[in-house]
Formats: sequence, C-alpha cells, structure tokens
Amino acid sequence: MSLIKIMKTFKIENEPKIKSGFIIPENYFDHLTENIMQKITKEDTKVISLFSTRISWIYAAAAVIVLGLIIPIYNDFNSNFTENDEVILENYIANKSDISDTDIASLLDEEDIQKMNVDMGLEEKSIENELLTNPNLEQYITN
Amino acid sequence: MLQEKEFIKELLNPKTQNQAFKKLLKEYQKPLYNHIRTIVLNHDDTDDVLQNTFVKVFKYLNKFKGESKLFSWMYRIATNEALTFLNIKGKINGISSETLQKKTIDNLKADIYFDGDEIQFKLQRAIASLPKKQQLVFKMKYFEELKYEEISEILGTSVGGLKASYYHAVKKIEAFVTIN
Repeated sequence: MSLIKIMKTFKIENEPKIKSGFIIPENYFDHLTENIMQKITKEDTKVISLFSTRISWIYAAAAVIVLGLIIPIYNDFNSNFTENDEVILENYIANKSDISDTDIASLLDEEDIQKMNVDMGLEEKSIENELLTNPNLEQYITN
Repeated sequence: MLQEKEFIKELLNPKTQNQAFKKLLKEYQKPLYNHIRTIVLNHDDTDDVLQNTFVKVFKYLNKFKGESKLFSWMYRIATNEALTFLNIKGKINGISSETLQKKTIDNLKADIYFDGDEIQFKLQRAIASLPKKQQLVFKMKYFEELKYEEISEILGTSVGGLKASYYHAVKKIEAFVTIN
C-alpha cells in the first residue's frame, strides 16, 4: 500500500465538530460571583477609606503615634538619603507586600533576565564567608 | 441598544451598581471563561485571568464610552488580559510565549480538566503553529462560534480580513493534521 493511500487528507468541514476538550470544574461558577464581588468591594474600600466617615478617634490617635515615630526616622532618613538610596529601595521592594513577583517581572526585559542567569560559580566556602561577614544577607534569604 | 444604555446607567449608579454587576457577571462569566480558556489553556490560569478581567471591567466602567457594545468591550479586555498574562508567565519562566504555549499543550495530557482524544491534541498543536492573530480568529470562530461581525468588533479587524485569516488558518491546520 502506498503512503499516500494511508495518509487520509484531513478536512475540517468533513469532520464532525471537534470540541475544545476543556472541562470546567464542577460548581466553579457557584463561587465565582462571590469571589469577584469580594475583590471588587475590597478595591472599593481601599479607595474610599481615607475619606469615609468611619475615621474615628482610633485613627486619629494612630496618626499621632505614627507621626511621632516618623518624624525622628524621617530626619535620620533625610540625612543619610544619598548613601543609602539603594538599600532603601531594596528593602522597600523586599518588604512591600502588594508588589507581586508578577509586577516586578513585568518590568523586566529579556536583557535583564539574561543578566540574572549569570552563574556565580560560588564555592561553598566563599558563601559561608560571605554569610559570616555580611549579616544583612539573612534578610534576603528569608524573604 | 436602548436596553443596553439603561443597563449601563444601572451599572454606573452606586445604588443599583452591585445588583447590575452581578447580572453582568451571570451573563458573561461562561462565554468569557471559554474565551480566556482557549487562549491560556489551563483552568487555574483561566480562573486568575477571568477574575482580573471582571475586576478591571468594574474599575473602568465609568470610562466605558458606549461607543462599542458592552459585549465587545469586555471581550477586548479579556483578550488583552489573557495575552498579557501569557507574556508575563513566559517571562517569569524565562521562555517565549510560543514555547510556553507548546509546553502547556504537552501538559494537557495530564490535565484532569482536559478531556481530549488524539485529534483534539493534534488540533491544539496545529493551532499553536499558526501566527497569533490567526490563532485568535480560528479559536473565536471554530470553538466559541462567534459571528464574524462580533469578532470584528472585538478585534477591530474588517469582516473581510477575518474571513481571509480564518481561511488561511483552516488550510494550515488541515495540512498540519494531515502530515502529523
């Protein structure tokens, strides 16, 4: 039998309709509306909260405390600003919880990713040394 | 059309907004789910993208000018969200979105939410070999069974252009499936 005979020409219109084959988990849509409404109200309150009437004396007291804490820090921060610029930025990214990996990744281009793939060629000993001499590293690792 | 205008008013009025939005969700969650699923392929990612899509729809409702239909506007947001999602997912994994798509198709065999035989896998692989625009047009026409006029409103391409895209897509898919 020749190869051509075995190979049947495929024609979409001659075939019965091919379904996508995707299955939706049972009850998926039952919870979807709820989930989305929750997300929306969350976003909403984020925007409104500052101006809402719910500002009570607790918020006022908290604001005073925060201000009291911030003023000395701010003064200190200002005087060291230029030299600590990078450290502050890194800490900000590391601790700011509403910046997701996805957000950061969306700012990177191919070149950045290439750069990240650099093989550091570190020996275990040198890592140990680095860890001993640089206590700040622990923070990066645990994050 | 008048009905839609009324509905949009309800969506924008803070008093009726929640009820109206629930109605919108009920009507569009299934078609938009299917639309996103044909693009991102697995259920969990679809769930993410679908939720983000509706959150964005809600957020930008007041910017919706009513120049296009609510239907095509939402499909447009969903399409953009799905394509952006794939680009970012590829980036995080250090691969192109084409490679990601091929990988995801290979993973379909183990996916409990995919029930496909050999021809369905072949069809998915054939679709993945097409240029991006032809992929979208084929999926929207063949799987989602949207009308050319509707696809035209969503993608902003003329009906003639879409018919040509679909025709080319079908030819390439048939050749692919015949050979493989």
